[in-house]
Amino acid sequence: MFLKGCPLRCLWCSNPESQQHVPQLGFIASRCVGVGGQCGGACLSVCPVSALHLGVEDKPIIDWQVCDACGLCAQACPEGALEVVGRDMSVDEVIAEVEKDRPFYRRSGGGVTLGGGEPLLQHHFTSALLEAAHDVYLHTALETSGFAAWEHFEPVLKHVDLLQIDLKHLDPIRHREVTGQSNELILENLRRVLSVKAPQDVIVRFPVIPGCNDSVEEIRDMTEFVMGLGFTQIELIPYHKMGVSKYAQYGMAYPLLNCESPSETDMARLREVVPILVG
Amino acid sequence: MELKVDNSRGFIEDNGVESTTQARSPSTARTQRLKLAFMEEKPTICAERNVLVTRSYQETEALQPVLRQAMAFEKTLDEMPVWIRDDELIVSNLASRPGGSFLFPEYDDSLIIQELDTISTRRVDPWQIEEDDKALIRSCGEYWRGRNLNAMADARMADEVRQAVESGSLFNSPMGKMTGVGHIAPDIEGVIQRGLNANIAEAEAHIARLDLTKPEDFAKLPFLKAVVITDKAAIRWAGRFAALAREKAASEQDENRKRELEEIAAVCEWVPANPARNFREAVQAAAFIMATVQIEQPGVSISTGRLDQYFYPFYRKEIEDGTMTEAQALEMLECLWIKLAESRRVSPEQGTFALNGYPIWMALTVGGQTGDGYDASNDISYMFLDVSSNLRVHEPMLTARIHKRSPHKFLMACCEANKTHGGGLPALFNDEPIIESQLFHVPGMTKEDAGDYSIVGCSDVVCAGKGTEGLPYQAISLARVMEHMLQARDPVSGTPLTSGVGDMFQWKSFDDLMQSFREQAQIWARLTFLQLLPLVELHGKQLPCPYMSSLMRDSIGRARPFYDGGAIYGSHATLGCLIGIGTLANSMAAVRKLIFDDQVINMSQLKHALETNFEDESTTPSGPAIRAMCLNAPKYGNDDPYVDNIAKDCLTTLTKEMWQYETKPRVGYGAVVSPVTAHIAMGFLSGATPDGRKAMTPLSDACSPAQGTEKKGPTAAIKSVSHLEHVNLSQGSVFNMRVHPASVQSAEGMSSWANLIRTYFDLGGWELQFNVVDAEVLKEAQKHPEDYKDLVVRVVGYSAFFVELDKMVQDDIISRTEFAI
Repeated sequence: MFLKGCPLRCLWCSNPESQQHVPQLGFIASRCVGVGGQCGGACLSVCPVSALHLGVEDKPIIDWQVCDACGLCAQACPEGALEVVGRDMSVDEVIAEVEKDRPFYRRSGGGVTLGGGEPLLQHHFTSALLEAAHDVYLHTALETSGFAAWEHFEPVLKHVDLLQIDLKHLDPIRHREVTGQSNELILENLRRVLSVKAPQDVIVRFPVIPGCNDSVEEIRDMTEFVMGLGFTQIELIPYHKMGVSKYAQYGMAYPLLNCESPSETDMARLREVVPILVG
Repeated sequence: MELKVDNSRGFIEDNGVESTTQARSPSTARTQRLKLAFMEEKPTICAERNVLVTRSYQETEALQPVLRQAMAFEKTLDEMPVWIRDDELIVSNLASRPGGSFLFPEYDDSLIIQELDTISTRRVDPWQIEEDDKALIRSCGEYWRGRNLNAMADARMADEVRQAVESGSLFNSPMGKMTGVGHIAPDIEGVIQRGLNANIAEAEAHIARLDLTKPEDFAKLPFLKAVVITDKAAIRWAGRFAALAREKAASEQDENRKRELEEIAAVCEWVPANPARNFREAVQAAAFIMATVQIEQPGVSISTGRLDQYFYPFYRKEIEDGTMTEAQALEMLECLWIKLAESRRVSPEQGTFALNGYPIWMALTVGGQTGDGYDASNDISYMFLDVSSNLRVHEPMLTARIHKRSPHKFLMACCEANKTHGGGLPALFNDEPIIESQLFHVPGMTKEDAGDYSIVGCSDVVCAGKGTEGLPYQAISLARVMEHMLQARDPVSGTPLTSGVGDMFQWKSFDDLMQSFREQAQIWARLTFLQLLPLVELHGKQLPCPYMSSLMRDSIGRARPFYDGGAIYGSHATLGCLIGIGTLANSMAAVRKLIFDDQVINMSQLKHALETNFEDESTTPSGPAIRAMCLNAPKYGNDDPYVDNIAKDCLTTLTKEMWQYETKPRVGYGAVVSPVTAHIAMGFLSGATPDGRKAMTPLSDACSPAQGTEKKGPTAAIKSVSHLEHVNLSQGSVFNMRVHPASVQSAEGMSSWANLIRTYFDLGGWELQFNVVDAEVLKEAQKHPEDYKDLVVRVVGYSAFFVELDKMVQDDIISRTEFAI
């Protein structure tokens, strides 16, 4: 379950559609057969605000400033090339959706995992949702950047069985350079987490981003900081490019050009300095 | 593919295709050579069987049908040439030469006779044939005109069926008219344990007990005599292989091969007449039985039953005694596998359209549980998984039974085999609903025998050697049903079909739509059953298959052919194959959504859009815009009750309509949802449907969601499919999933895959099969078929070499949604 809206702008973000907190139109150009196809360019004619224009290869181009994600074009497209990402949902609606997969949780031990975006941006909703999940005996997990006020964070934690919290860098300036925000709030929250959660229920995750935080020294420092606070589980998540193609779908530019995934050798070197590795 | 043979070890390294999964090859140099020889042989039609059978029937016109069939079988086995190929340890053959197959004029080969000049060059499933053979086959054809089974069936057709066929609304299916009694498994276990001599003795004892002055006893005589004739003929046939092996041994220079040939001779002199004394004899007996039953009659899906269960006691004893190694056993099983793969069936061109890739659907069952509820997976089950992956040929179809207590190791081995094989073998079957279904549908079925079931087709099951299933299949195209619902009259003849809720313009609500479906269900169940009924009599009396009957308990005891009351379990004498359930449910959901709920278009607009194949741009909204609305309506396969309930209710309605028909008390009309490739053929004959499907494109396959409409991933698809009442289907359903190879690379991926399977089975799903092939690889294979000769894929309920499939079938496989697990 992904919650839209995020206060950070990490350069490597693989869920760009989750950054804004409102529904957005996406255009998957590879599915579009062109307005000369059977659709007759239905998307162009139904748009009430004229946000779609005819572009190259007979395919629409979207004026992202004008589009208000009303979704009429998505309904008109027979190929599924246009789709609106994100919708308002109540807690009950989300639980009903999650319940559909209950037979699978029995086998896999899975449950509800909230990610994003940053679920703590909608902390009232997140708290209510996780509580409702607990009410129907579902396992709950929360993936967070940790960027939230403690008074928002703490009430949510009550309903979280497994907390996965990121640490991206220890240096506030470098942190701001690569995520758009300083890290004081995150570090402060990390210091407090273990006052309400047991270490076995928390995994601290380091995204390993070449050129941002992938030196042995940086990873070692982060590890020492985390272990110093009493955490017992760290996961290293190597940079990947799975989200790159999504940027164009939402009219965005990928900020981290020319970055390659860390090699297995690089990762092995980094893993050596993390004595409490999981995953 | 380049092969490096390491003679020092007798094993082979496969330096072929760079593959993400490890490439596998036959385990020894011998079986590697046998596979290469098999791959290189061109399917060829031989005339011998036509000539021998025709001559025999000409000589026996005064006799009872059962004796005539027995004597034709006897003549074929006595006189058709036999051969033994270099390297073979297990012998038997179908036709007079490697790669050969033959025709069945007594059923009907007239369509093939018309195509003899083009059959070697046709696009799909071509056959080589020599001019001499063509002439012989044609001259035999003269005798059979008006005398074969198909002619008899047509002559017995009910008037209303004839009208529907002539108007084009009912397909005059050749299944069961040009084909024989399929979907059965002979009693291989009985032959291994008792030998055919025991059958002969039983039949002779029964004859001795008859009081021939009583008419009912006198009537039993021809059948029992026929059994004696056919089983003795099969024993003599094995003797011909023994003699040939001795002859070859005498002139063989190589000492090793000379010894092997002498061993072959000794084995063939003993089985199948007598009980097998060791593993090799058991394997050889199985090979003989599977060949002979296919020489008697052209049934499809004649299957082996549970070979892992029959072979295991012999295997264990020899391993314990140290008289055989595991590697030797594996090689023996590979030799058997190639023998079984040699079975091919000649289809006329119209048949290849629906059944493509030379399939015979010979299912081989492993795993599952014993009749008394113990887990039945054993070393041989695992070895068969290896054999299937090693050989990668399209037949036999390896199928694995999974139950709640199946070891995780066995399920993982099945997944692993699917990954290395890639082409959908083994298909997985779920014991619990299948056992429940048999206890529910099959009269007198015991719990022990239900638990001992074997797979005998795409999704069909029977108790091997005891049960017979529906043999004539009648396909019911649910897209055609939808067309009839909309118009309430036959689209071709214009004849009104219902007197109830009328056509689409008279529907006031979705309830009327459902009522219309119920009326159609009554019509189609009745019509198709009537179409099948003459075949029940014909297969029971005119071509009753005495040899197969001798391999089916308790035909000899009852002195009746197996299909005419001889088999212990006769369940559904006929089967309706329901095609396009996804297309139907999606169409009804679209009408409900667009016309009754949202009211965005009306019936006239929909009708016009369907008639113009969604292509008329002059209307408002335009054809393409209406199609977009139709495509965006709820679709089966996304765990959406709005449409899944329609699928469930329609299937239940139709199956219940079918159950009420009986051929004998409680032996009626069963249902199955596994259309082979008929969903493509049926789709080709159907106009546009309200789900947004264009005219002449494929319908949804089996019980899978319509191609490319499952948007919410594998868990939602599994929920939708398992929402159907699978137990209502006496013969089950097939669910195809295509899995991206990358998603099952890791241990985690494999474990998610196993969880998915377990969950589908928890939810009551019947069968699940996979293609673990990248769409890109399939597209590449279309472009360069020469590089992908041994790429095997799962079609629907069977596997085939991808490059041998029709382009439309290939495209259909590519268009199935690929899941990352």
